[in-house]
Amino acid sequence: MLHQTDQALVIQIQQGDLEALGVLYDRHRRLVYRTALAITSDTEAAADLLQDVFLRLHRFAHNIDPVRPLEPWLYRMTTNLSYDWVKRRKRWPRPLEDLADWLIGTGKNPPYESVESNDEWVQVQRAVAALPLPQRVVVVLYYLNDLALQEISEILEVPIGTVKSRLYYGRLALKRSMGLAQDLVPDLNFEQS
Amino acid sequence: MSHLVDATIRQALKGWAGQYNPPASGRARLLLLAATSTSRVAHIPSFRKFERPAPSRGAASLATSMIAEVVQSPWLWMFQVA
Repeated sequence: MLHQTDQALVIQIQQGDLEALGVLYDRHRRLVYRTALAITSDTEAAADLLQDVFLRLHRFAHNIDPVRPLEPWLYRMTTNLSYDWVKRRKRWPRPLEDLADWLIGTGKNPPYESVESNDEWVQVQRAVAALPLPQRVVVVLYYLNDLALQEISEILEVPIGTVKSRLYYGRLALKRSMGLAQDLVPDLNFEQS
Repeated sequence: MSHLVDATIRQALKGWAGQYNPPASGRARLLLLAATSTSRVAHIPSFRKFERPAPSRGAASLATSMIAEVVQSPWLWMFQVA
């Protein structure tokens, strides 16, 4: 079963085979988890969303066309659920314990505080988290998942011009946040002096 | 220049995300939940009695039956007596 294609496994899930769901989970869990994490910036939410995506794959397997590749479906579901999570988080106030954590500075879920890592990595994660949600999603799909603009356009169901625009402004904001605008143009600085 | 910026952002974002892995218990939990949801749905005797009236009855028919229920209600007769 491990060497079967995604399409074959989807057909098996449609026939009620739970083991096929497990194989697909093992194959794609990092992709889904890291995409959700990059959009939500919350390790606990990313774990919940990962589970939710695969539960929906199980529940709605009969609606999935096994002839088409599965990854775009997974990306679409992950981004949609992450979108909803971020919007809900904004709309509803945090519970009191979260507020207390925030006040004393011991937030439990932000990933950049729980792992010691390269400064540039932390910087880019914070810059991505600060982007407006539509730009953040495009930036994550483009840079983290290496998707083409056309693929992103199909996954998000928006015109390709919108994807380009969101990527342009997202990239601009990241350049500023990461200080890339200055660091990467030494020749220009030299000419001015 | 643009390629260099792209490469820097891509490398940093991949490096950051690459440190994180989903919880090890996720697979077993997923399969348990999927199995539970399947068996739960299978054992529910019937959803039919919670469904709306069949579309063939139509809104007019539904309204008529609701009016009939009100007319037959003992409360209505009590108000008339009072």
